[in-house]
Amino acid sequence: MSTETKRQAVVAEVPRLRRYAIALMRDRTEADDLVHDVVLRALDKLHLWREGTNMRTWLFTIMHNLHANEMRRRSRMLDVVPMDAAPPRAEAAGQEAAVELSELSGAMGNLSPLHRQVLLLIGLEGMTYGEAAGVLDVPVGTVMSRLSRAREDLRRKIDEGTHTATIRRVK
Amino acid sequence: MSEDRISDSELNALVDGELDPARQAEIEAWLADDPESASRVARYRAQNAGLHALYDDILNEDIPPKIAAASQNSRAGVPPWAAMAAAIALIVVGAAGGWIVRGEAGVAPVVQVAATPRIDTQELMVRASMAHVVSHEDELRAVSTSGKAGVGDYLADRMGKPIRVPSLESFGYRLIGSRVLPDTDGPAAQFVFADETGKKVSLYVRGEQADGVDITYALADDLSMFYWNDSDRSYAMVTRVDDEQGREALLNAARMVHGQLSR
Repeated sequence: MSTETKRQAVVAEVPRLRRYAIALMRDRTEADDLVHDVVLRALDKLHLWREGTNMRTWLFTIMHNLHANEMRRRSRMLDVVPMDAAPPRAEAAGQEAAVELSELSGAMGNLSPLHRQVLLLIGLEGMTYGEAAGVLDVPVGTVMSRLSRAREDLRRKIDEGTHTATIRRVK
Repeated sequence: MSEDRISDSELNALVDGELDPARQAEIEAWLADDPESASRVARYRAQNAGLHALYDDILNEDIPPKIAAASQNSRAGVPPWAAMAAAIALIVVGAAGGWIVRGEAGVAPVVQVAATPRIDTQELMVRASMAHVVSHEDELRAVSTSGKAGVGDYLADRMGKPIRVPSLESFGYRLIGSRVLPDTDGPAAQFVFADETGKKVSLYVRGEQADGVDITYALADDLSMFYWNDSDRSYAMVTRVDDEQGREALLNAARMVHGQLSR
């Protein structure tokens, strides 16, 4: 595979990287900054990507590592999570779904980041447990227990319907 | 059904398609007799559908320009040894003049005669670093209300050729001004950026015909520089760098600018 083909394969994953980053970080500017850094890093390290392996999980792994570093860096800063940063809900989509989208969005914002990650990788990105374990660098068993707790926590939060406009917390 | 209740992990695995087909059929049959588990499966599936409804629109959005620019990185995937070889072939000129010039990978130069027409690195370094040192805001043309477009028009007018105005906003650097400077091959342009602490990075652009040069590192006293040539212009990004991290940041900034200007 030529370098140009590989570069195009990276570019082709940008929409999915953005979808995940926006859903995870709930701030479009920050999410796009992260995706930007992922693309730069990936193109810089393209010679390290092994042909025949999954480009998507490789990129998600890079993103997870960059994001984790950034979170560590900020760990003492006041963390403001804007709740209205979620994208506008799709019109008419999922009318019959048991979940009200605005409540789902609010409840996702109240999940712990670890739960949100695993839920998005599997529920939204459709990764297998093994792929998610690779991206997060944890054992498959950890992915499964986190996922199970995340779904139950999300279910409870939706049922309680408690979410405030903005959460401010000092980590 | 003999079990009291299907395990959490199997319920989740069912939703995620992680069970083998035989076990999946078995569990699905049991769900008929276990309304609580069946309801959880339905809820989990609805959560997944809800996530898609919330976020799938993002897949159809245009890629933001900043990310698109980053993805144009022309050095992509060049193995370090290849970049190094390219850099080594271009080294000679500066080394005699008291400059330490190196390939990007930081390997000591091997002096050899370059095979292709090369740029005058010595001239570029002297001019770019002098311009950097003497770049008080008073000496620059400020970015006025006409913004970036105004800067581009002004420079294009004086250089006689269009020139793109690079942006380093994503690195936390704001364009504070620009100017036109006399150079041997006609007017050169300088862009000066500063972060919120006042730390400056400048980009020097001079007309120079060459076969194109990949991004290469050079060091002079306490100024670090990454330079390149795109066949009719040579560019040098200059800043004062005191550690490896700063050098890495400068390289990333140079790559970004390179990508922005070479499209």
